[in-house]
Amino acid sequence: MLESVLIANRGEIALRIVRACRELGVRSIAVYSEADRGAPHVLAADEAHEIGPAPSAESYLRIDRLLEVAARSGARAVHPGYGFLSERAVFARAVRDAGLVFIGPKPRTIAAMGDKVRARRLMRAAGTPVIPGSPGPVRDPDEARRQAREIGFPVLLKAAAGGGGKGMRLVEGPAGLERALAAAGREAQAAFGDPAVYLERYLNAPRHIEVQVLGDEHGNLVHLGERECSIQRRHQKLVEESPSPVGTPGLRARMGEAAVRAARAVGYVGAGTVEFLYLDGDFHFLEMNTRLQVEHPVTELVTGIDLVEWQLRVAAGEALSFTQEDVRLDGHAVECRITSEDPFQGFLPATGRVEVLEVPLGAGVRWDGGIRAGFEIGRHYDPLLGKLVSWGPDRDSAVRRMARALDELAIVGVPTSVPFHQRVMRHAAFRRGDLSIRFIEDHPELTAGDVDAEELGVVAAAAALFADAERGRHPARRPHADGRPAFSAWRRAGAKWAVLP
Amino acid sequence: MSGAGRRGPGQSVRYHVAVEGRVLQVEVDGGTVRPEGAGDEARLLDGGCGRSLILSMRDRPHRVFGVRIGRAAWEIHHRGRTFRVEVADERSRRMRRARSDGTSHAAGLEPLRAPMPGLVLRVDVEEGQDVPEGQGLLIVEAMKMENELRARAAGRVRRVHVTAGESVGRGDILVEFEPGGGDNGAGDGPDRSPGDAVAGTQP
Repeated sequence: MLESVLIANRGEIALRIVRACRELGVRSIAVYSEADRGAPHVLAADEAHEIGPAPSAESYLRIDRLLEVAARSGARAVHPGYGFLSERAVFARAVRDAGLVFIGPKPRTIAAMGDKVRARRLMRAAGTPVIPGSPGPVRDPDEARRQAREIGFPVLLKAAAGGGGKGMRLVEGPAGLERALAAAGREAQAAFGDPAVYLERYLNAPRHIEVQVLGDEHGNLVHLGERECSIQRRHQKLVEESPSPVGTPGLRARMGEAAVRAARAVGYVGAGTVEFLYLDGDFHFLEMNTRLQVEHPVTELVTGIDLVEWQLRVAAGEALSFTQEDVRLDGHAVECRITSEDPFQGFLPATGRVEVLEVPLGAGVRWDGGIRAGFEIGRHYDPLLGKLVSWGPDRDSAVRRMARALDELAIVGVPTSVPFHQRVMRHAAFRRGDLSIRFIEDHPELTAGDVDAEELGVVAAAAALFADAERGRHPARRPHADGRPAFSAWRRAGAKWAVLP
Repeated sequence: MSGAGRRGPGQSVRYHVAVEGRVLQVEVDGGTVRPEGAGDEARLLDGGCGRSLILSMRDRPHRVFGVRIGRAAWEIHHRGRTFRVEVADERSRRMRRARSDGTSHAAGLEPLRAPMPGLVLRVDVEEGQDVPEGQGLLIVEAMKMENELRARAAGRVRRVHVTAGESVGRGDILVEFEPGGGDNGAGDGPDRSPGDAVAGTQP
């Protein structure tokens, strides 16, 4: 096994990797920005090093500083997590050139799949169906208009270097094209440092189904079943599950084979995900993510395979200890992404301090979080606070369990996506497994923000009680019976606490 | 809830609680609370340690968290959902009314405030411009996403306080409005103003 791993990330995924390291007896080395000095991943790691100011361009994206810390701390390997530098071939190459192990695929694999235009060509050659689109990046509005006419509106603008919805725009007709092209280019530049954008036909209400693959350096490559991630907003996944409600053994075998073929075509090593859009029994290659996915826990819960552990084992040169035939899906798992976004205000990102954090426990519930009470949610990073994951022997029990766990989760101090997820879990179409990537648009009641009278009454009553208590606490209005100033007792109590070790 | 508990019966205080676009009158009488027009009489079961309390309404226990975010503003958290609430008692309500008389806010046109800290990428309106409901006003980048702030009602832009490239904090005034203009004059209701901006997918 590797002696030590530098984790070039933050938040819940950094903590997830620290935990895997701890369990395997690997020394974990965290990095953090000025804004993350008190972050949970910092507290959990064996050691932690500051790498710069809050903006990620000056900290988590600084390859030079990360390698400097790696050298200073004697790190033997680097885990990039997801996002940030995880899909930058130049980072993987720099890590290797520094004599360290990069926990992920080879740099040329990342480069091949990272260029979405090239990946589409590769997949077509490997016999995987791809969505019709522009043959290469579009350079100006005229070319975009020409290509869009050929493909047919509506079209999707996508960042050639990107993924995860950043730099992506849906364009319904020629009128909005130029403006969308400019915005997508800007967002792509900001997120990936590359403004190149290409066009793809927009499929009407498909499902997003992806396949987890895992390979080692000895030529073994397996798939670990599918995940359905159709519930998305602006191409950001919100709810994921495994298996898919439409995931029959036959479809799983077909998609699994296509995914393994795609991964083999680029010599894949480690954990990766091949994403497809599924419509009426057909599936089309969307992209391959050459890294760990946010939603990897649902696969872990149904397969019993710890993906981060296997990333570390594969990076250490171990061979997979199981074959495709050994992989069995047991039960059903659901994940809700808990973000600091207000679902009733267009998922407006919110900032603030986490005042209270109470995480649900009980049978079949897992919380992969990156926050703690007292932690400040700033504007510099992704709004993902944590992931709530449930497992049940079947889909219905996993969903009921998730609904229960969501009701028990308390994050106070910043609005979160929790109430959205509560509505999804209780929604008839979701319960039926009737999903598509248009789910949120098709069911506006999920984000309507209506309140029933009883809830309004409870909230108003509580607010009045809080205000009343505050008023009562005010020294001027609360004379003590014994005539002493009201605050002295508090002060004495404070002094008493202060001398405790 | 030391304050609530200490006053005896007959010393009830009436509060005006603004929540989700409604103003409810709530009477606090010791540990008994009566919200008018929503829910039922509630009883305080446990005051907790300041940030949370447990109350019972129709024999159903509710755990509610409260964080004070301004002079009279609270964030109330109940069953996963966060509500922004304003609370005023009779006296401070009368005082505030007297203060705000005759200002532009009397017209019901709240300014557009930054809903989150971020970077202004683009301003799409000019001073004096009439904006219909739904018109894009400006784009703020926060958390790596572009958020378009749109007018929730019709109005006329009186002042634009920011320019592209400027960093803004949560609550900063971005655009002020005055009545008139837009597609349909004063918008679609007295309780809505163009400043109650909504974020949307851009464009």
